[in-house]
Amino acid sequence: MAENAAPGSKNQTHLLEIERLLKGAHGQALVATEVRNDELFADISPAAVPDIMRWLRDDKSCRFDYIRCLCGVDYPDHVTVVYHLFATKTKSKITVRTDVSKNSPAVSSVTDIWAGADWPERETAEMFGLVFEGHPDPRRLLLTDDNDAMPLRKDFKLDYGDARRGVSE
Amino acid sequence: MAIARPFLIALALVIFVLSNIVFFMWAEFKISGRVADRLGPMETGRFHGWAQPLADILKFLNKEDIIPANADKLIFRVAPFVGFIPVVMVLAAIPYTNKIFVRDFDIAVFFVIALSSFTFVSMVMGGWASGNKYSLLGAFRAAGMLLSYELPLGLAIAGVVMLSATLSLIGIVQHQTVWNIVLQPIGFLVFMVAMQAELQRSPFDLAVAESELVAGYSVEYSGMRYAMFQLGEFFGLWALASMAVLLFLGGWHGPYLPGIVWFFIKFYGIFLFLAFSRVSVPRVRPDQLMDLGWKILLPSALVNIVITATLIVLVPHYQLPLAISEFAILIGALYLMRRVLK
Amino acid sequence: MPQHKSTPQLMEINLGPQHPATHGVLRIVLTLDGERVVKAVPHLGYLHRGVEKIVEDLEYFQIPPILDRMDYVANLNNELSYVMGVEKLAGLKVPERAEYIRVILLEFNRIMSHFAWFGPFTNDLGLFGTAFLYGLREREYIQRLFERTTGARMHYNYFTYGGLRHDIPEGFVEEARHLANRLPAVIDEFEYMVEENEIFRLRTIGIGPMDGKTALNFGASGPFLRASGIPIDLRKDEPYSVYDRFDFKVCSASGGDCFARYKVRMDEMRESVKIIQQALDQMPDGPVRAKTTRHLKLPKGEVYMRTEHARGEFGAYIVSDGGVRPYRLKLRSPSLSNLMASCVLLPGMVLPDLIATVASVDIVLGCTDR
Repeated sequence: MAENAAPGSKNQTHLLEIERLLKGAHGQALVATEVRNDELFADISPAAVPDIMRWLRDDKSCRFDYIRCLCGVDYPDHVTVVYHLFATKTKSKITVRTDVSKNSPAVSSVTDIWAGADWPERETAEMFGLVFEGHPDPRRLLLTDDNDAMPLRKDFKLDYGDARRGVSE
Repeated sequence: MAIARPFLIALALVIFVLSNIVFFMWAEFKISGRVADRLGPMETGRFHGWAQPLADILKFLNKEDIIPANADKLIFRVAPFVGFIPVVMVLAAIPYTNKIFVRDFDIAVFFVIALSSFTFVSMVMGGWASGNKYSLLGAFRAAGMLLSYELPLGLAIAGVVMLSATLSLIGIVQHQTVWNIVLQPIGFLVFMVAMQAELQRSPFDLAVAESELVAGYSVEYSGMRYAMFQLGEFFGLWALASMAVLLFLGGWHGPYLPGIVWFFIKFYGIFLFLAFSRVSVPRVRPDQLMDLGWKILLPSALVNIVITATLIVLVPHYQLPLAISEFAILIGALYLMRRVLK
Repeated sequence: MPQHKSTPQLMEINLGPQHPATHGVLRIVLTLDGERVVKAVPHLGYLHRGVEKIVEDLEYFQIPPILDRMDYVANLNNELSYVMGVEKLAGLKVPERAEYIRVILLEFNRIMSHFAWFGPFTNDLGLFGTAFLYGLREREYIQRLFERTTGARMHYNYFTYGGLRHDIPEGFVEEARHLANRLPAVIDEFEYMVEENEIFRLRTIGIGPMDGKTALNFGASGPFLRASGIPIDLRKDEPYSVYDRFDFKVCSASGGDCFARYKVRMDEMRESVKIIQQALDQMPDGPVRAKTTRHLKLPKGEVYMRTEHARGEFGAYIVSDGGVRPYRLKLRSPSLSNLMASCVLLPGMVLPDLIATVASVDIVLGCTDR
């Protein structure tokens, strides 16, 4: 594997630098940070999403100008929204996670920061029953308009009918 | 017997043309197939799928004639005939040699051009009456083409008519001691391009435009009504390809072989050109089509008329100067265009 | 009532889901003023099969066949991201030979995908049916090699965590080399077929131009992004597998229009051929599969593995809770992002340009809808 995960590499120090800056700028909103496998992981509180995201894109040392992936992960008491960002100049990566409570499943939209978050947000919203506040076009993306199910939540069980008969669980 | 004679002639003519059209269809299948790295039809009729067009026609005859609920029923029904009948009537005006012809009209050129443009009328009628948005778009593309391509087509012929001072097709052919393609190269090129637009063949098949408008004006047609449009297209091809031969390629003139053979050699030459050009270029956009029609074809046709008229009036033996000046202008213009486009 | 200013009468028209030029089941609701598009609203989901939900009920070894059915034109590229993600999380070391075979097949798969794009693209420009089979013919030769290797023509299910399902058949190297050697001439033939064509140039140059900044902002990737002048290629930028051992260049163009996208794909195929030839030369002997168990348990954790798919960045985000099934598997589809980016180009275009632009993006609806 060509993953250059050597500690002390140029990328690694850059990420540590970003981590330090992030702690300095938004320390109170950070839940945890970690640099692992040449990637920075940051857990943040959902209220701080717009500020931190904008900072990550605009700050001179970060410049995360590319959103690779936006998705949700369902946990028993909360839905984690995961943002995978990428800086095209420095080639550094960051994963930002924020836990959205199921009681008030709302998180600020980042479409005004990265236009590429548009459809992934729509998809995540319909799949997990989230609301992305400030999204310009909050329609469903893949599901039909009358489908209120939240398919990717864990309490949504697939009904296989006869298809799985005989398959050992 | 005297009464039956015109009907028999008409029947013989239509059967002869229809059998040729069946051959056209088969040849188009085969040519487009070979160009596209396919075999084309191979099964129907055992020998290289020769019966495929017949099978297609039979299939169309058997199909249900569907009329959409929100169509304008009368116009929807009539439209294919409006396109089909005039192009069949054109056959009456086309001579094959100076002995084999139905009728020598004084105004044959005018007659053919006038009747063959009914195709567009039928497209607009059919497309608009279908009550479908795609067919409506196709219909208005057809209307736009009618406006921008009839004019160059007619003007391209004007030069030929001036040279021979007659509108009779037999007269025009008899006058061609030198083929008109030599005297009127600009007119010939304009005619060939405008002809393809008139025939709705790729690159000008905008009214059908399969990848954009699904099937354009004919999207709601089925069964025999749809086949009428298709057949009308082939009759139109017959008419205009014959016109190209008669007006520019010296008709039945040619050494050694009998006139009728020469006529069909030239005719099938034109047909092959059309069949190959259809499968080798992508479709143009409507605005590019208009650009070509109004900015290139129409001025070229006008320049052609001006040169021809001037030389006919001023120079007694105008043939050589006319050919030289036309070719000079053509080559100069093509060279300039290439420079400008690069 | 005499009116001097005419207000345009707008027409709403449904492009798809059954339309010859939407490559499957894309539906775009267009508002047209004449033929000019005023508004284009894409509707997705006609091919939504809930892949991400289905895989949560499957064990890790059962998942690759499902992924094959996402982007059904470049299947092996789909499998790779997921398989490498599992390997990374499980700490599996893939034998060298397997890596080389993977690269060879992946690059062949990329070429196949571009061939399968080329034909329909010319189709949509109105060259109806002519170039279509040229693309498919060449694809067929490669597909035969794939069939001999993997046992299937489309849904290969060949990559597995730890390597490959089985070794390549006898004669693979010779056949692959033969194919790779003939491909440059074939690509030249395709270029010769369309590139100097005046109408092809008229229909593609300057049509649907997208600047690099917008493309990047929209998360576009792959040939679509590179055609806008941003040479991002994960094979070079974040080398995975053994891509850092090959000499190839990242193809990019500056126009960002349909022609640039066409050109980038054509150039990219040549580079792929180079990679294949080098990989065939360097391929070592040895096992093709690391020792793993069937019911693999991944340690608790998460990984986002991305690879350069034929259409762009294909990502697999695996979240494991320590069990035999993924807790969550998110698949990042390049077609989705590219389509989203191209949709901002559509308003203001005329209908034929819209068709050309959507075709030039190269979307596979199985991948956008999942």
